[in-house]
Amino acid sequence: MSRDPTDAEPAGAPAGSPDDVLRVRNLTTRFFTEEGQVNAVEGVDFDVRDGEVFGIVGESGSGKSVTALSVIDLVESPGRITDGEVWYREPDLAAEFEDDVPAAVDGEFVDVRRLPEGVRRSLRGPSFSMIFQDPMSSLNPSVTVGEQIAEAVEVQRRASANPRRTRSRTQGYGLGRLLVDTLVPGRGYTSEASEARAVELLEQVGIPDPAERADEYPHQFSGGMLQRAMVAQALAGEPDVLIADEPTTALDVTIQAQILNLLRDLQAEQDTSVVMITHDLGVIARMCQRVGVMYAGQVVERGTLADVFDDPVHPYTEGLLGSIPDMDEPASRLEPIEGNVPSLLDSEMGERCYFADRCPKAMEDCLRPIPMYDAEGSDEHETRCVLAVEEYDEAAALPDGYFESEPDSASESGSADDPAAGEEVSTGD
Amino acid sequence: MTETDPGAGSDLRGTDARDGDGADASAPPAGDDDALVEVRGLRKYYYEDDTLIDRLLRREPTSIQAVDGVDLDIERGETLGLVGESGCGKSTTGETLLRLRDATDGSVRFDGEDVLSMGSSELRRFRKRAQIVFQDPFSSLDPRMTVGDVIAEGLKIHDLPAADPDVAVEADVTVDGDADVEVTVDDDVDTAVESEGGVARVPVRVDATGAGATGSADGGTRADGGPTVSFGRYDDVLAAEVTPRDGGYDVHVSVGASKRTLRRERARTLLERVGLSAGQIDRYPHEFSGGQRQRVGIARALALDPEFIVLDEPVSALDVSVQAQILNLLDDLQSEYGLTYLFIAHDLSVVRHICDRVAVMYLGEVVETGTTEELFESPKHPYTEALLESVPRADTSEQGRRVETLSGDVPSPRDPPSGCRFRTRCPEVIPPAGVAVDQSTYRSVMDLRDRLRRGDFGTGVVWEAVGDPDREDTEAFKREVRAEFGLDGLTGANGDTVEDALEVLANGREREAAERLTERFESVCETEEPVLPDEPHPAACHLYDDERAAAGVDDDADPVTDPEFGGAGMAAGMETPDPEAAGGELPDGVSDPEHGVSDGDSSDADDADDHDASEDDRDGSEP
Ligand code: SF4
Ligand code: SF4
Repeated sequence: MSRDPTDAEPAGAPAGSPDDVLRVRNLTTRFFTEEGQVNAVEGVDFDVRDGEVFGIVGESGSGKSVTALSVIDLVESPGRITDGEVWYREPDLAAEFEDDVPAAVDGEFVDVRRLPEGVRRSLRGPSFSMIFQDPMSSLNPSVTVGEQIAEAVEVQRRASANPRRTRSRTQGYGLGRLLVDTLVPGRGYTSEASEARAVELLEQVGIPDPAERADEYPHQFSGGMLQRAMVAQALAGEPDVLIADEPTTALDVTIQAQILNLLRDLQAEQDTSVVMITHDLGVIARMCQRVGVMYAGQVVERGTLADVFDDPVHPYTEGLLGSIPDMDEPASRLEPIEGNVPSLLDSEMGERCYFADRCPKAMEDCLRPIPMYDAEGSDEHETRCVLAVEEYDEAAALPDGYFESEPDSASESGSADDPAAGEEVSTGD
Repeated sequence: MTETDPGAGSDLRGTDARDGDGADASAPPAGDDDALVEVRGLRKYYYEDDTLIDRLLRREPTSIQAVDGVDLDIERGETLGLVGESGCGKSTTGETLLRLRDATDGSVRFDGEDVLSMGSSELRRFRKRAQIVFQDPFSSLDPRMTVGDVIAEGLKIHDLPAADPDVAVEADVTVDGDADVEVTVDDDVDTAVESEGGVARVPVRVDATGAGATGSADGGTRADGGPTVSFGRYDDVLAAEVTPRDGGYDVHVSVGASKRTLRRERARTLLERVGLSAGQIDRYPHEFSGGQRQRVGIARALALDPEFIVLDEPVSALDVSVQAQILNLLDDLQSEYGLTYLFIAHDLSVVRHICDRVAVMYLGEVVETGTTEELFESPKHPYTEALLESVPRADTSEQGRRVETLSGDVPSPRDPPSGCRFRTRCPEVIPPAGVAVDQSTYRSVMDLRDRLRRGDFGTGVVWEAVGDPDREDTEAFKREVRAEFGLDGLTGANGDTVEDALEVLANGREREAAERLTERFESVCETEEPVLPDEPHPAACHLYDDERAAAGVDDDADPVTDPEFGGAGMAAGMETPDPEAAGGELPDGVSDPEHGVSDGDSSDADDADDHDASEDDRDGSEP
């Protein structure tokens, strides 16, 4: 299943499960900063199936949030998606572009990245929707909550008014306006029907007195309520794929439990596929059927929840699991991963397994780019680590201090503070 | 960290006054006179609408009861966890007991001394012994100071290092060559040499083999023509004076560096102790990653050899892999220096890992305390149960687990619920005696009643939903409300009361409807405030009233005013503040409009604001 990165012009959609709604391949996003090129996302592959919750777990600097933004094309300057394909199963869209952009179409799949920009934007909301960690990044403080949700409903209505012609969604309205209205709702073109729907949605996400709360502004909502409002807004478009980036990280655990229940109910009801991005392995375990672990911009291990949690191969995955205190069976000592998050500066990344400098099992064979290997467990289980194909050999182990000549803490702090490399990338509000 | 033994290990402080038997994690929580920190009835209120204008207009200030009568005992050498959700007052409690904020009421005893009444010189001493580590390592470090300066700042403020009269100074002398060497050491050498167990041992190596020759191998002090004297790692800070005498030498050792240099040396030692390198001493905080900055924050707190450290969400901002490193470090430091920790956190798995005992806070009050084991294995308070239930476990068995969630949000501390503060969300709220009602339906009735009381029930919305703008079809109205609140299962007198209340409600009389419901359904949970009893593993909840009554415990005992409470410590003549007496009038200087932001919502803003606000007056920037 390993990919040749030089394979620039693949013929059609990649193989996968018949249930896939999204197949992301070789997604690559770089930030061109003053300090140099930051490789935030580096050849990421994953599939999302109909009605499943796919988890992406990683720490800061792993590229998980930039991956989310890249999938829905919200990466902002100085960042740029430099490579990759996002194949989305949408027969109507495929039929529509079959003739105009044949390279973008393969059967029912469309490579969204090859569609004209206006079309890509028009998919946001009705096809792809996103929930952010910080509700204020997607809610406009000067527009009532109800109006903003009604806005999203309106976009969906316009989109579905003529489902066969995606291009017509943008006609007579103006691409610019559509973009602005999608991202900055509240331009006052909502109808009564969409406002009523907004109240329904608020009620659905468990906001008491939805009709009254709809007339309030975001600052009048508590954190938990605001997060619900954002879920309502994201669902207003009845998206096929919902991308939730740390949707509960800012919330208290009792409120988090409410939101997770809510997301699961709504997902089951609407059969939405969800990409759940989080640093919290517990949230992944509760919500996801399949999961990808990201480190330094790459997916380093992927498989079913059981593959990744019970039979991890990659030492980073093992380290992550060993770092969390177990609430039910506390161990006397944690086994953390030594070292710090790596630098993502292109100039400092080197041709090797990016985890080698922290890996307790690093060997000479790790000093080259590592492809994805099949791992034991389910058919889905793959890992970017040589341990999938060879035993750890102490004789070949890298000597202690092998990486110490590399720039140490200065570069670590580079990655910690560089917003492009960390998770603090502006999310297009 | 039950293996912690405060009496063992080297002691950075030089004095070891502890007897080392107080660290038993399973010791009963209350009434132990060995507690290092004893908090009784601590209150911290903030006031809104308390500007000059407000006062001129005689507007009543709104009080926000951020901390409302907290009792804690922190035993020597233990880690007490203080957990709760944002806005529950846990951070404010930590800062108030350190006097980084003024308490509104209550008492804090540290090693027997009354912290809240300390004068400035006592406070200064207290600040040396009790330190804090904040959540955000970056915002708590001055970006313009090097980490060396940050760590040494407290030493500088306290004009340290200073000789400790309780520390003995001894020389460990090694003589190379054949000479009779007498070594004397200045009393203040303990300012430059680390002490262990109350003794500062000075490694003195006298090389008399080349006496008379010139040059010195390792930069040690060399008297002209005499032997070479070196001090191992203390070479840079100690000086020797060699006086030849018949058949040998007299060597006198003194401190050979300025206080500034000594502080720098200390900072270097501390950097290494927290897992950084001494070579990083001249770097700035922004050059470090989050985990490294938190290490600096810890080194800074350790600089003054404290006995007690408040750790305020010390790992919440860190990635899990780094978080584990810091937790292990805190664990090691505690065993090494016999530290006592108050560990404030919202992450229950971290708390389970690091704490010996835990206190759970809700809306300004402690609702349950116990050993970590008791609290996690057999939680008593419904809120603790809900917290534990909510935490997602990183385990495949977690998949698809559906959590019974609490209803609603945390109420505002401006207007906390009467009786038990958790009653507006409690799934086990107790129906009055004689009212047989299924628990979840009872919860629904209370939800409806509370909404009516709060005045945010929208009858208009119901009529709209019913599709009857003329508001005539009261039957439809009642059906709608019943369905909305899940009240269909009620029968008999319960059903009649609800029916009656809904009828009144349909006529637009919300308050009266609420009263009807209250008449029949009023709960002991709203009329009586449950107290945290004086017993092992106490929970402030009426569910345990019967149990305790059966066990013959006086139910009405107020734990604060009860002279029995506090055991030996109290009996030994501690003043006991009476909350009833103090309740009406508030001490001066408590008005704090800047902090009037706490609104008990579930964002992190409250606690975050608290942190910022405390920047100004935290120890270290003390004038
Ligand atoms: S490839 Fe080598 S260095 Fe990388 S994770 Fe696997 S064993 Fe460790
Ligand atoms: S006192 Fe009543 S409301 Fe409070 S926790 Fe106990 S049962 Fe629940």
